[in-house]
Amino acid sequence: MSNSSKGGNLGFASVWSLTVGGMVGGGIYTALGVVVAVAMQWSWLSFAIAGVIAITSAYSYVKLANKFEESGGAFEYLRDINLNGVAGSLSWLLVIGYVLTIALYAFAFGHYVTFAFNAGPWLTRVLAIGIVALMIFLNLMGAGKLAIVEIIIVWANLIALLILAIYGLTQWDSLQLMAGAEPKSAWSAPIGAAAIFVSYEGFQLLTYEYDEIKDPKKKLFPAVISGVAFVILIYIIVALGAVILAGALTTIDEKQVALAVAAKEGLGKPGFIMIIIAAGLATSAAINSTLFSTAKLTARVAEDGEMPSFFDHKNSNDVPDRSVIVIGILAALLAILGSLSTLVEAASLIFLFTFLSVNYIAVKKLNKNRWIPITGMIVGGIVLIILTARLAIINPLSLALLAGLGAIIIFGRPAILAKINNSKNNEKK
Amino acid sequence: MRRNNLIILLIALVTSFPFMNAQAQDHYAHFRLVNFLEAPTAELSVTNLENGQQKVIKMDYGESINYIKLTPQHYRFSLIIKNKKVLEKEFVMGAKGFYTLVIAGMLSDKIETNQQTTLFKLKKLLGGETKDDNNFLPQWYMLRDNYDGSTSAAYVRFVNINPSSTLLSLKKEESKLFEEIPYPHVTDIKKIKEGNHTYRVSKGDITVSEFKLTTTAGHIYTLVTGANLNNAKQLETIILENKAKYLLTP
Repeated sequence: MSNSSKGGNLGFASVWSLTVGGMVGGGIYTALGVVVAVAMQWSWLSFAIAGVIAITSAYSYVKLANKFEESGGAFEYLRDINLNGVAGSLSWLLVIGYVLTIALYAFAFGHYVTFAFNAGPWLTRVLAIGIVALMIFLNLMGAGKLAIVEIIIVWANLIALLILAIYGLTQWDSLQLMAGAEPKSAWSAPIGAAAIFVSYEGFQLLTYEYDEIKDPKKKLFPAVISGVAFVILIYIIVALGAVILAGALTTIDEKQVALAVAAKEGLGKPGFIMIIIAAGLATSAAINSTLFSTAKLTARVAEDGEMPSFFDHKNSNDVPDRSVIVIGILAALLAILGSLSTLVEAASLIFLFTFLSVNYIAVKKLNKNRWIPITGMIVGGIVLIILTARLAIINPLSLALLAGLGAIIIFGRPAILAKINNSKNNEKK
Repeated sequence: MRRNNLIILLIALVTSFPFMNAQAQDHYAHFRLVNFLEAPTAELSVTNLENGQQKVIKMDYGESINYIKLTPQHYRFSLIIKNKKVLEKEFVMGAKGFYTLVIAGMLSDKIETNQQTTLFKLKKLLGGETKDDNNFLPQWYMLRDNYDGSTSAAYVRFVNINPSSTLLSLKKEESKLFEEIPYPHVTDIKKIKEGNHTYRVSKGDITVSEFKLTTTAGHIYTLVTGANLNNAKQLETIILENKAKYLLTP
């Protein structure tokens, strides 16, 4: 356990920016069309409901991080309460979630840039693979975490989204929120929240950097909580403003590039270029930071013997190179093979489960304000059930694959680890 | 001071955008209709839920109508066959929107309003887009015609509403445009070279609908294929044409 009473170099502004960037980085660019298809005029409420789970989970994450005073997120918290096996299983699941998330960001990057050049689907695939390859290369070179670059991208991205959302709100026309489609009942809002929950997952990456934060006991809580609250607000106004500009049916039909279409519709060519640049930068930065943190987590878990030691290997730049390469390749493959809704919903399911686990630990370990993680557990639990039912009916293959992976992780993981370790020992002998 | 400057910059940017994007279009919504419901003459009533005004359109199988102007509003669409209400649904017609409503499917022996299978109902309950076959029961699909295409190319999309489990493909001369499209499905819009060409709809290797089409740059062609009630071995294709978004005229 590291002593973090003083911590590293990241101050309040950096922590706040990285919290916001981790979430807004790629989420909203891919989630908007998916949530409008599900919740229509209630999409803003879907973001608010998912936001309740996010902010209560952020509370639990921060309080637990400050309590245990170490980097590592859910994996470390579970280990600290002596649930090593569960920690190992959850870490495998989390890595799958992050691979899906990187795939989602690469998918979004490919679609937005291709849309700008009005090119065919082949370019989308090339770009999705290309951006992941570039980020693998940058990470292997040791340039995976450039906080100042990330912060600049976060702010450029926020300004672009704010301009789009505020301009959309100034053109208020509630009919546009349903234009060309059938109005939906308010019941669709929690279903929408379930479908796009992944757009809130990014803040937890910061808990892997606990050691890098300056005076974390004082700064982590206000920075993360205000950052998550700000993102909830941004998502709500973008869900209203962008759809008012594009119309509901257009947002659904063009879900892969919904924000670019909205910008073109409302703000013309200058707005279109602005959103394409913002989307390209934001998704690249999100791929980079997720790849960096996931590789670090994988190496950390491998170090503890909960993953094959293959992933623990580091190159001359002290980068867990094998983790970076394997995670990157898997994500690139998924980006070109998966559909948007499948990637979004499968990743949402994994992160809902993880956040529920963290809220559960918070209920067990925290002495004050337990109602906050309990609220997160109740709302998150309802949304998790809804998402599971939705996947079972609408996308049973995805659910079956996830369930199969879950079963392998829970029941097969110890055997897999034992076999790998045995063969390694035999090789050594 | 710095924060104030940022706010002023944001406001200036937001207020200047409308002047960069001046597009002269009217405010109305426009909608057209294609009837491929395997039934006698259909009567569609479109009721404005705000003021109660109603338009009634009568159509035979395989017919389509040109765009009708509607005030942007909530509308109730009701489809009546032999004095029985087969379908009823609310749609919102947005300002400046261009839409095509496609009616498809087959009537069951006992006509009920909005007949749905249990799976279809479940999918709808859980937020699915419910574009599935619903046991070939009557359904409708709203298509968006405001496609923001280039004015230097023609565009085509294919709609399979032939109630069958057989997949359909569309070829332009010998080049494949869309392959193995299930019922009911609307493809994405695809760029094509303008000109006069022969198009073929096929089930596997068998051509079931063939037609010549002259396409013009800046126009979108929606090819809707359904059953041919006069020839069970053939299918019927209706071609709808509209201009790409910035050429759309009210």
